[in-house]
Amino acid sequence: MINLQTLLKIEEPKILLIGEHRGIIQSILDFDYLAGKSQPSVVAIIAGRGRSSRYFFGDRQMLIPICKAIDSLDEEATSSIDLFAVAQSGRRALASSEDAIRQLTNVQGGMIFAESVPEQHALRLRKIAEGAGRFIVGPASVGMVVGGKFKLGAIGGTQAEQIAAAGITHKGSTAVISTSGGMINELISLVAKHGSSISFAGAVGGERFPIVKPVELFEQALKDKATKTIVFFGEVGGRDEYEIAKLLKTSKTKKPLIAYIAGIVAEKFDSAPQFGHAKALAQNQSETATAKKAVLREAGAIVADSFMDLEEQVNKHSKKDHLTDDEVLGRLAQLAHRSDAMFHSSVSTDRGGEIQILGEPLLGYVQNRGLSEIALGMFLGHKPTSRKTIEFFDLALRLLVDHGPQVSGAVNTMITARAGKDLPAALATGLLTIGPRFGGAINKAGENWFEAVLHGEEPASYVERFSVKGEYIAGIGHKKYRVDNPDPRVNLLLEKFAKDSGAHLAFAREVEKITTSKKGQLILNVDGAIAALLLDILTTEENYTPEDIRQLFQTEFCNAIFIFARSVGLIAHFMEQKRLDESLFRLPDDQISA
Amino acid sequence: MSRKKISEYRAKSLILNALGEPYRGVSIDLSHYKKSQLLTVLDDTKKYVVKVDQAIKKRNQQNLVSLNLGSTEVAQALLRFKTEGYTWAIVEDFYPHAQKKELFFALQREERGVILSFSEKGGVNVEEHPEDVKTLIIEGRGVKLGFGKNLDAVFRSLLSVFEKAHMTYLEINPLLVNERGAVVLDAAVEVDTAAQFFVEGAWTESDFREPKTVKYEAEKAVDGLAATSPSSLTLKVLNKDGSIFLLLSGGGASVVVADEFANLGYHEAIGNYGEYSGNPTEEETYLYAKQVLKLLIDSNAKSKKLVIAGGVANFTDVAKTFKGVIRAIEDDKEELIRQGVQVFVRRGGPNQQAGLAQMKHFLNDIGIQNKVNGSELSLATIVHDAVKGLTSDKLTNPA
Repeated sequence: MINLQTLLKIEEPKILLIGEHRGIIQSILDFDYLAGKSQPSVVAIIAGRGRSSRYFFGDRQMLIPICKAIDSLDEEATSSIDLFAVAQSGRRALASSEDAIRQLTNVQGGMIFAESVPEQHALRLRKIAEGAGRFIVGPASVGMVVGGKFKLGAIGGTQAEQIAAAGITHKGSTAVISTSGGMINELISLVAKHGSSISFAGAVGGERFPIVKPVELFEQALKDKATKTIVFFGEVGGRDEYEIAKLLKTSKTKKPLIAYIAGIVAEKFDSAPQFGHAKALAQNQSETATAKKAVLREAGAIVADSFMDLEEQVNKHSKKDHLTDDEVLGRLAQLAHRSDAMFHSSVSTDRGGEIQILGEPLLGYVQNRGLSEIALGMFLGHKPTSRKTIEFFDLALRLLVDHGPQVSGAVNTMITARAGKDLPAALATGLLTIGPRFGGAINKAGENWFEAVLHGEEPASYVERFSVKGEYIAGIGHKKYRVDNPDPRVNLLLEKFAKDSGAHLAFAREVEKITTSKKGQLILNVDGAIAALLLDILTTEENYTPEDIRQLFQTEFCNAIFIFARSVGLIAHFMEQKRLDESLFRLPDDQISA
Repeated sequence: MSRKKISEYRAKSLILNALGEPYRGVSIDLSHYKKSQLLTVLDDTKKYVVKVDQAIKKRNQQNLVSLNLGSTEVAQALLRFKTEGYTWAIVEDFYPHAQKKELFFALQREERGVILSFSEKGGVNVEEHPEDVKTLIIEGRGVKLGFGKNLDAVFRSLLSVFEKAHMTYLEINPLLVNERGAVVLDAAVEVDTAAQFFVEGAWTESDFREPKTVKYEAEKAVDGLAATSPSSLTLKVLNKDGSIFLLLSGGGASVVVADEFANLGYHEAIGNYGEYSGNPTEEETYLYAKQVLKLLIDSNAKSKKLVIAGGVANFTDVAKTFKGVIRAIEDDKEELIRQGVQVFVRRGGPNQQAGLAQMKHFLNDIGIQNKVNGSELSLATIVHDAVKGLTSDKLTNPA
C-alpha cells in the first residue's frame, strides 16, 4: 500500500538501486541536483562487479558504493534506505524486491523497471508488499516522482534538460497517473507546457497485474493537499477505470480528474490486432475504451475525446504554478562543465577548507582514535567495524617496528645517513629495499594461504608443491628460532588472536607441522602468522568476500603494514647516525672477496 | 504479448502427467507430414480422433475435428487439414462415452485469485447453459473444493499443475471423471510466457500455437526481427492499400497516434500499425523501417503519407534510430519521390535535437516534402497535419 503523506515526511529520501542501470541512476542524481539537494539520493547499488561506480552530482564526479547483495550492506545503509528501484531482469524481480522489503528495515517501497515479470510473481509481490505495509510500482514501470522530493526511476526524463523543463524539481499541483511509461513523460511535459508542475506522478506499468494499482495512486492524489488537478492515462483492457470511477463518485474530496483512455482505434476494426501493451486488449465489451470512458464520465471525470482535447482540458483545469526557476536553470547550466575528474579520493577530501577523513571531519575522526586505528581505516578505505581488527592491526604494527640494525633496510638507511644525506633520502633508501626478500613475506604468505584455503588444497600437497621446485614457503622458517625455541612475537600473536581464528591459521599451522617435522627451524614465522591471522580476521570480523580480499592484496595492504611500521625503525636509525655524527661509511677491504 | 496458447498436445501431456496417467496422443507437423511414417504408428484395429492443434476456438463447428476414424481415414483427415492450410494436428485414441457424462472444467488466473469454473453439463453446448456453471475463487492453498472425493482429487492435481507450469488459462471440455480417474478429451491451455525460465522446460517457445492466419511478408519479416532482438518490434497490416503508413515508437504513444487518426475518421486510411521501442539498434530500426516503406510503396492509394512519431522516449536514442530510418528512406528514395510521399515527424527523447536535425536535413536534401518537429509540437497536431489533403483517399479506399 502506498502512502504519499509518509513519503512527503521523509526529509532526504535515500534510494537503493538493485542492478546498475546507469541511465536511471544518473537521471536520479540530475534530478537531485536540479532540485537543489545537497546530497545525491542514491546511496548504494547492488551489482555483481566492482566496489563503486562513478557518477556526476552536478558537475562534480562522485562514487556510489556497490554491494554484492542486500544482506552485505552495512547496518547504517540497511536501516536508512527509504526506497528501492529494481533495474534487473524480470526473472530476478521477485527475489530482489522481496529481499528489499524484508531486509531494509525502514524502507517505504520501491519500483520494478523490468518487463516480463511472471504474473504469479507480480501477484505474490502484491501480497508481500501489502503484508509489510510497503508499496511497489511496476512491473514494467518507469517509476514514480514526487515534485522536489524524489525521482524513483527514469520517470520525468533521462536527460537533464528534460528534467529541468518537466516541472518536477519543486512541488507542484498536478498529479499524473499512467499505465504507460512512455506516455507518462509525454503527459508530464504536456502539463509543463501548459504552465503547471507536478505534485507527483506514477507509472503503474502496462502489465496485467500492476502491484500498485492506478486507483491507489488516484486515492493518494485525492488525499494530497498540494494536488489540485489529476491527469490519468489509461488503456483498453482491464477494469482499473471502474475502480477509479467508483472512488471518484464516493469521495468527499472533489478534484478535477482529466482522463484519456487509449484504444478507441481497436473498436473500429472487426478483428482488431493488439494495439500497444500486453494488457491492452478488451476481454469483453466493458473493457473497451468507449465503455471505460463512459463510466468515468458518468462518475464526473473530464474525459477527453481526443488527445487534442486532452491538451485543452489540461490547459483549462491545471493551476499555473510552473515558475521559470532561475535557480534550476542556473544549476542546469552548471552541468555543462562536467568532465571526468583526474583523481578521485574518498580517503580524504578538502572542500572549501573543510578536511574530511573517510567522510568524517578531520577532528572528529582523529580525536578518539589511536594512530593505528586511523591508519587502518585509511588503508582499508573504510572504517573497520570490529575492535578485534583494530587490536590485531595495532599489535602487528608494534611487532614490526624494528628488527635490529643488521637488516637490509636499516643498513641502507644508516649508510645513506653517514653519506651526509637528509632524512627523506635516507628513509627512502631503506624503504626501497623492501621487496620480495626483505619485508615482502607477509604479502606473499597472505596470497599463498588465501589461495590454498580458497581452493581447498591439502597442506601436504601445498608443502610438496614448493619443495619440488626447491622454493622457500613464504611465512615459514626462521634463522634463529626453532620449534623448541619459538619466536616470542609469534607466541604473543597466537596467544591474543589464535582463539576463534579460522581456516587460514589452521591451514598455516598444518603446514608448519609438516615442515617442522622435516627441519626444526621451519616454523611458522611472524610474517606467516600475521598473514594467516589477518585473513581470518578480515573474513570473520569484517565480512570480506574472497573478491574483497583479492582486491585488498592488489592494494598492497600487507606491504603497507610493514612500510608504515618499519618507517619508525628506519627513521630512528637515521637519527641515531646523525646524533653520533658518524663519518662516511666504507666497507673494509677484507669484506669484499674476489 | 505475455500470455500465449500452447498446443493441445503439450497441454494434455502436462495435464495427464499431473493426473498420473499416460498420454498416447501424437503431434503431427503438417508442413513436414509423410503418410508412410504415421501408418507405422497406427493400429488397424483401433479408432482415432484427428484434430487441428492450433489454438482455434469452436473447432467442432468449423469441422476441424474428425471422430471415430480408422487408420486410413486418419491419413485422409490429416491431408485435408494440410490442404486447408493448417500446420499442426494431433491424433489420439477415440474414446466412446455417453454425452451426458461430459463435464466442463476451467481455471483462469485473475487478480483476485484463480477462478475455477465447473459444469456438469459440459460438452460443445456448455455456453448455452451459463446458469449451470459454478465458479469458485481459489486463493492460496488448502481451499475447500466440495465437488466430491473423485472430482476434488482431480481438480487439486489440475490446480497444482496450473500453478507450477505458470498457466493463465486451462480448459478441459469435455472432461470425464469416474472412480478409475479422469479422461481428458479436449484441452486448451494458455501460459504466461514471462515465466519460461521458471517452468524448467514444461513448455517452451516451440509449443506456442496461433490460429491459421494469412500473414503478410512484412509482418513475418518483423516477427523474425523481433525474435532475435531484446527490443520491442511489432507490425500489423491494417489496409494494404492505405494512405497513412506509421513508424511509431512506444506502446502507449503508438496507440494515441492511431486513436487520433480514428477520432478524425481516418482509421480506414491507416495502412499499418506497429511500434518499435526499447532502444533498438540502428540496424534493427533500418530493417524495420524498410518493411513499412515496402508496404507504403506497394499500396494502391493515390496520396501517401509516412508518419514517424512517438512520445518523449525514456531511453530510445532518437539520433541513432533515426539514422536507421534515414538509411531505409535513402534506399527507396526514387520511388518515394516518384509517388509524392510526404513525411511527417514528431519525436522526443535522448539526442532529440541531433536526430531531428539529421532527418530534416536529409529529407530537404533529397527533396521529399516534410514536416519535422520535436516534443514541443503536440502528438495530436502531427496527426492533424498528416490528414490534411487526404479526404479523397478516405472515400476511395476500401477497408
